[in-house]
Amino acid sequence: MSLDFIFKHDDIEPKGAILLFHGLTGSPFELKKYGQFLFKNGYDVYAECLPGHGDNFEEIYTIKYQQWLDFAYSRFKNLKSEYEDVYVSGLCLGAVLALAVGEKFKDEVNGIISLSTTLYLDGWRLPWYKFLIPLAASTILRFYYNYPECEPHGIKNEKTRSIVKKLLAKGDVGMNDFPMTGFYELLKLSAVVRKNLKSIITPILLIHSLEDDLTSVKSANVVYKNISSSDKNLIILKNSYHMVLYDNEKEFVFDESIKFIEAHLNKKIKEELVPC
Amino acid sequence: MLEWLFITISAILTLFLISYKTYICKLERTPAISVFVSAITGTMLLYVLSAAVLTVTITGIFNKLIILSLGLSPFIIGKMATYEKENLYCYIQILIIVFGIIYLLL
Repeated sequence: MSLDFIFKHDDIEPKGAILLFHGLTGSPFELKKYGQFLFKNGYDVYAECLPGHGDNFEEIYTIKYQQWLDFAYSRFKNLKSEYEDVYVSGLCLGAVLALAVGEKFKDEVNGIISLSTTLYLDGWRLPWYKFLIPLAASTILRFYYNYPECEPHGIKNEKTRSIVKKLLAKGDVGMNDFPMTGFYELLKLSAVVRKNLKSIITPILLIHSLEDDLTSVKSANVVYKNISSSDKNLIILKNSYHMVLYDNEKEFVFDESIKFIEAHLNKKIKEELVPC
Repeated sequence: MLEWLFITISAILTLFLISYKTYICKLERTPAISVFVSAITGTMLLYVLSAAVLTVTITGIFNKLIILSLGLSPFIIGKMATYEKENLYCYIQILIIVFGIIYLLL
């Protein structure tokens, strides 16, 4: 069952395109409401399953982070050939990929919205023996360890959490646990992206929860401090966990995202209107 | 004394890996299995640490090289291993650990 979606305006000229990337072991389903909101505001929105995710859950064991990068780069290039204004956004692993696109296409990306950026696995939900993760990930044990998806499933809102829990149990919207191979590739991707943060000059909006259960606010702080963008903003949420697009402050996240996009779109239009 | 500690840790690690490959991996995935794999990881950490200490304390350059290689083997094999050939690499890892035990005993 494909969970990919493309929301494209046929009736009006879109203001631009927004490329969305989902999180590790997730699917575009987690971005759907966000995508619909952006679409209603006049943008064409694209979200596809990342390599290693989708119908065949075994694929996550064979995936390499370069495949995620190639996927993100190619999707961005395709959109850039069609649209003048292209924004990239993502959640968790998707946020790291959005940053990678910002590093590679620094002059072409109009803006980056990075949600729950996962550069480090240091959230409070991880077990006390989380210090063993790098060791397990670097050895053959990475094929044996699956960190079980468990409470609170990245969601503080209990009602939403129970719905997501049921969907996860069915296996319809994502995987029910985090394979260590996925963590391993995420950590390698994170190291590559951290190394090149200085090359990001694009306007950026970072949104991160203070109580993120998978990755602490350190990840967002590292990005904020090390990028070269002069136009950068970090918003810390106080009443959400990792899945900021489904939690208590989702409307706020939606509003801030569209405000950010519109602000930069308007700025560009204004620049074009300034007489020579 | 340190050699016996390294041998004991190696033996436990071998038992853990064999029991995982022959029995545990066939069971349905539960949080208990994740805890078991965490225990293997903890033992592997002790294996690497004890190999590092033994490399410093053991006499003879050849012995040092052997123990150092044993200590680094989980990372080298981890780097080479693929999902498709995971079984093969696991058995190679077990054989290397057993070789270390025999080497020190002899």
